[in-house]
Amino acid sequence: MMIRSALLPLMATALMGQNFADKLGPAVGTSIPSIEATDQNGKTQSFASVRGPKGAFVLFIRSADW
Amino acid sequence: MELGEWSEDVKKRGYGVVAISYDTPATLKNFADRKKISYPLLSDPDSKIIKSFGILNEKAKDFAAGVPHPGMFVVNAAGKVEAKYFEEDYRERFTISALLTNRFGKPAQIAGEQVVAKRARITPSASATTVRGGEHIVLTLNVDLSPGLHAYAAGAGEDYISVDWKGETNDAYRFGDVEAGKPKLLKVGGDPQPVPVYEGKFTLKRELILSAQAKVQKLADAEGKFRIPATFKYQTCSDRLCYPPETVTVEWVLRLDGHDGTRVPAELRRK
Repeated sequence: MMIRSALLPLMATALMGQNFADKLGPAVGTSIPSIEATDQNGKTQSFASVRGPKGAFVLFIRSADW
Repeated sequence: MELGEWSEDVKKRGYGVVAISYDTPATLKNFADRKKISYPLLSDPDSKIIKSFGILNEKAKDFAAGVPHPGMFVVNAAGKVEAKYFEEDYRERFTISALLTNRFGKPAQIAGEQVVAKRARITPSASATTVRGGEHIVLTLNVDLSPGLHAYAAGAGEDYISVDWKGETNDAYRFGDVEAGKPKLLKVGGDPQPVPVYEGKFTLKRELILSAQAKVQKLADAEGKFRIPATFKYQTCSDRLCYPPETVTVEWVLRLDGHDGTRVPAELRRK
């Protein structure tokens, strides 16, 4: 990790980051699984209810508490 | 991941915003109220959505069991992934402000004093001026050349002095490669090949990767401000003559935000 961050140019780290992202979740160009869940106000939401005209930024966060 | 002000900006660009975690709706409500978050925070207490996306962090144990690898998908209106962002090193995080500057062309904010140099004005700006340890942000140099002059872009060849932005990596941060705006091709003097140049205004960008909070903290003053010096070298020419190359020092001033360690009330915490 140290060698990676200190010596390789960004292009390489960006590619490595990209590879890491590639392995996680649906691939670019493919459909996401269904999202249906309760929000902070107790309302049921889905991708259709949260998206804008162009789509949505779907964030996964570790926790809202810690 | 910064959770606040950017969401309105994203919405203006036609994208909705939603964040998903394993917390209960009550925890999310408490968090949303404290942080003044208006977009939906979805509760996935059994990590069903997290697992269906294939992003469960399988190494997380005990109260942390069920958390995802943190990251983001940009999804188009048809529900297909346009882009995704995850950092391999959990201490680092991409920032949405950097994404907006890089991918959506959002102008960066001025982040230091404009340098009025010979035949050029150079302004340092950044995708965010308030930062936290581990964040990846974008620094930009906005250059405004005096009328009638051009400066040579990278790739102009050995016969020319190309613009060059040098910054020194240290314990608190490191830089990515410089990305420059598209140069114009210009026929210069007796050169048979056109040469890539910039005229008027142009922008150079590069990523800034901050180290852990404690390391950046060492650079910060009492108000949390810290400075990132760099040099910018350029040579300007008109169609008749070239001026001597210049090297100027430019400085970004950013503010390190403290980590807000506030938690939800004890009764809402995951056991």
